[in-house]
Amino acid sequence: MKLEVLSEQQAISLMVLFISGSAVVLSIGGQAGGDIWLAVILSGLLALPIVTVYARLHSLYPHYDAFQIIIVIFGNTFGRLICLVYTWFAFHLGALVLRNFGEFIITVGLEETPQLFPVTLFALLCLWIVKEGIEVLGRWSNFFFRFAIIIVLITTALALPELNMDHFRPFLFNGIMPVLQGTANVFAFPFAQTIVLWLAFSGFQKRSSPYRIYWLGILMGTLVILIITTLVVAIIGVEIYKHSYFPAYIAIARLNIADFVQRLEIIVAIMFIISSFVKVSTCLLATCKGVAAITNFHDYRFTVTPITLLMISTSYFLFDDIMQMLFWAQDIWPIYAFPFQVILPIIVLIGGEYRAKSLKKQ
Amino acid sequence: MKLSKSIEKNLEIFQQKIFHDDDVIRYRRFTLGNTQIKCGIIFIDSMIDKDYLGENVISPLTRCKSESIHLREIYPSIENIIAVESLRISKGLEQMIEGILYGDALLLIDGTDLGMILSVKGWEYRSISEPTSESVVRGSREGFTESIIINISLLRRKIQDSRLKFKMQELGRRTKTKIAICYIEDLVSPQILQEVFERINKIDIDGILESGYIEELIKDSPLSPFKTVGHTERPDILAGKILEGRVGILCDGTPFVLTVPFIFMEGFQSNEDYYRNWALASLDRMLRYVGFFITTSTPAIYLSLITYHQEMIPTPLLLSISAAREGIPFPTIFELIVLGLVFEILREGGVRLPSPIGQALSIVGAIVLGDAAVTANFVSAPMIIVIALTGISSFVIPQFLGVVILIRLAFVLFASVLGLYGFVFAVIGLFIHLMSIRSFGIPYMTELSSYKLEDVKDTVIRAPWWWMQRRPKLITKKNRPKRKRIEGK
Amino acid sequence: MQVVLLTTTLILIVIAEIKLWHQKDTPKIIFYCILMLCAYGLSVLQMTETTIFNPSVLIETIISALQNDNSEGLR
Repeated sequence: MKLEVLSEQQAISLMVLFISGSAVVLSIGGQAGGDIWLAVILSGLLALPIVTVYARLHSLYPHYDAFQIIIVIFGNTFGRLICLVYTWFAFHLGALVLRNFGEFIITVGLEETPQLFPVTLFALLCLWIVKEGIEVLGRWSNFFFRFAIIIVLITTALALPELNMDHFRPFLFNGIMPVLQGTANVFAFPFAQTIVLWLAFSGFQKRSSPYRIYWLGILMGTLVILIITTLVVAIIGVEIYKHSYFPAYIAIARLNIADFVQRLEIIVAIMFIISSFVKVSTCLLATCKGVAAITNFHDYRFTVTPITLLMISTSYFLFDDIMQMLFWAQDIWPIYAFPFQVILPIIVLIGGEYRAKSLKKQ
Repeated sequence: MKLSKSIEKNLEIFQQKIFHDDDVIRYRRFTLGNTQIKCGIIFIDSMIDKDYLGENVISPLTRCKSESIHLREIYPSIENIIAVESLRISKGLEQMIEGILYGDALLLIDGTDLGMILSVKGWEYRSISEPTSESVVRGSREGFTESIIINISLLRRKIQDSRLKFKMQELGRRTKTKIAICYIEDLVSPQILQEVFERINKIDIDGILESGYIEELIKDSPLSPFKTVGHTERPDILAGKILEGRVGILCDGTPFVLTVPFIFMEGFQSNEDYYRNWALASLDRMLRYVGFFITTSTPAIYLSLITYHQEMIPTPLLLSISAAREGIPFPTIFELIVLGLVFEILREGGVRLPSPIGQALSIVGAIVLGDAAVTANFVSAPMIIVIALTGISSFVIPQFLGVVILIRLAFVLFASVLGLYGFVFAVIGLFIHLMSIRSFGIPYMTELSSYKLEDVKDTVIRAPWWWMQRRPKLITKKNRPKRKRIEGK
Repeated sequence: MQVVLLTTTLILIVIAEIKLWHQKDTPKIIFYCILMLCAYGLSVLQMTETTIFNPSVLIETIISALQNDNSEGLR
């Protein structure tokens, strides 16, 4: 089968949208308080070595996708076990983001609609694009990337008069510990989640460097997250940021330009829909590829429909309510995800280096 | 069936077997000069130029002297007597029949089983006139006609390059329609060209009456409402497309020429963009994108704003809208769909009517349906504005006139169930579809999803000519520079 | 009612998808049907609001247990 390839631009925009995924509306890194900007920057920097691991694996095995790499490195049994673990991780993440999306829609917009309806429609769109393949996903994100950027720029410009820099002072009021906690939080969600992108990518066009893709992606993603969190905290302050479900939505709702341009929350919602669409699709794609790799099918496309349905149902019973969901995203996720996002990739890299060397010797 | 050596028998074959019961076939018998050799000419009345046939074929043959004719090699010797610019000697009966049916004359001579096909075509055709479907303010006034020969000459006059090639083919088992595939040898991408030939060779149909038949038979993603094969009636547009490395397919019997590959962005280009000041042309082009957005999205956005997100409308505006909607018995979605339908009916009705009646129709539509419906409290005035805006904007992108209606409807349906969120869902879906279709291997949204400055030059804007130095990248891979740089090499 | 609707939709989807493949690949069809059955089972459970094993609760318990151990150990 022909390897589906992405261009550098497409991969980077996919990555930036993925990172901004549900992170743009949920409150992340609230522990850091007024030093949240520092936490975001630190976690972005922390993410760089992790994505370098993926890039290194890509350049070691340029003709394989992630699941194939794992199987090549660890052999059939153990490799498949790792694949299974990652498939679960991608599936679970997809369900989580889907649930975020559902909660968002019914909390801010359509209170009377049953959550299942918009979620199902949304998941069907994801199903469609995953069936079309990663190339279409890449082109799609490349196209919508500019809208995301425009939205970020417009909100920044409109928010300028509302900013209150006092929310960031004094610097390091509570010492460095909360900042580190916030850093760990932001690192785990969203930056280190890019592992799912690694699972979903199948290859890049010739002459494009995986290092550049991952690094630029992380840098631009950091920038987007940084702008959004700083803006939001500067508008509504730390306390509201920590304790609201969707702080960005509340912040933008406060904007009012000359009584005419007001109630702009919808553009936050649009940004969120676009980016979480990319995120759910990527997770779905990674899951389907994982399932196909474990069961040794060449084409993943036929598994998409059942897995989408499974994901919808899972997302539905994963949490009882939005409180539990937020608690999960902030307190449980960083610990739960650590082995998947940091330990396993390093193990895979060590195995990969070793394997590549022994292959070279032969 | 084969011809014999006797002219009488041969003529009988044609008269009794092949063309029996056909009254427009003419058989003219005469003798060759003073040699007593019998000859016959078969042709179809009204498909040949009679004066030309008489003056250049029959008259020299009947007057020629016997010395100039060698009985052994009779055809080569009379080739010099006949003053026709193109003739060929043929043995096959099939070929002769085809020739006669295509407006050639067949000359048979006693004593041989060969025939000579003389090109004396001369039928009436429409003269070159300004195309009505694509009118321009500035630009050439020529339009293609129904005759493929004339169309080829129109194109050839625009591109006088020996590397411009025409490949003639016949399609349609019964109509035997002539088509010509034209391209510039060193600009066209070989994969695209090969794909075109493969698809055209696969066509098996009894009749091709218009290039639309071919279009549908070679189209990618046949289920998609978007067109992936372009068509034009203007030689200058075709020349422009071919110079960009595209392939043109001319079809006899229609002025509409197909161009492939056709990508989304072409729907927003107009030939006039390239003839006018680049800044104004760029402005126009952006207007078309805006028009596309307005015509597809206004109804859906209006609907979701007034049913789901009233808080987003500034209060004074909201008040006036709800005042206008007071006393309207129907829900907004119903109002929207019915009014939209009425508009489409008016448009469709107007298209095929003679222009005087068309005007009457638009008056009825505008005054009776618009004004009276509002006064009678059937529909609200803002809704009329929305529909009118939608309808007018759809005319800035004539290439997508049909598909836009479908998109609009889908948007409205999604917006009616989920408000603006539904609208965004529908937009996402639309772009998934657009991103997934291809035209002859070229992604449909090429150049629109790119950030390279070079690709923007002829998409969102129309950059000045001195700045556009390269041809579109994905269509032609080779021979990129449009013009050479003046300084250095 | 909902369950009946779900069942018919899923059966239709299965038939349509298998028809669309244009090829008879038995292991593929079997695997597809198994996945589809899982999805169906989960959806029915969800619709009838049966409480079932919830991975997030499990993960939550494990992690809070670990955290407690650690903090006590530190003290």
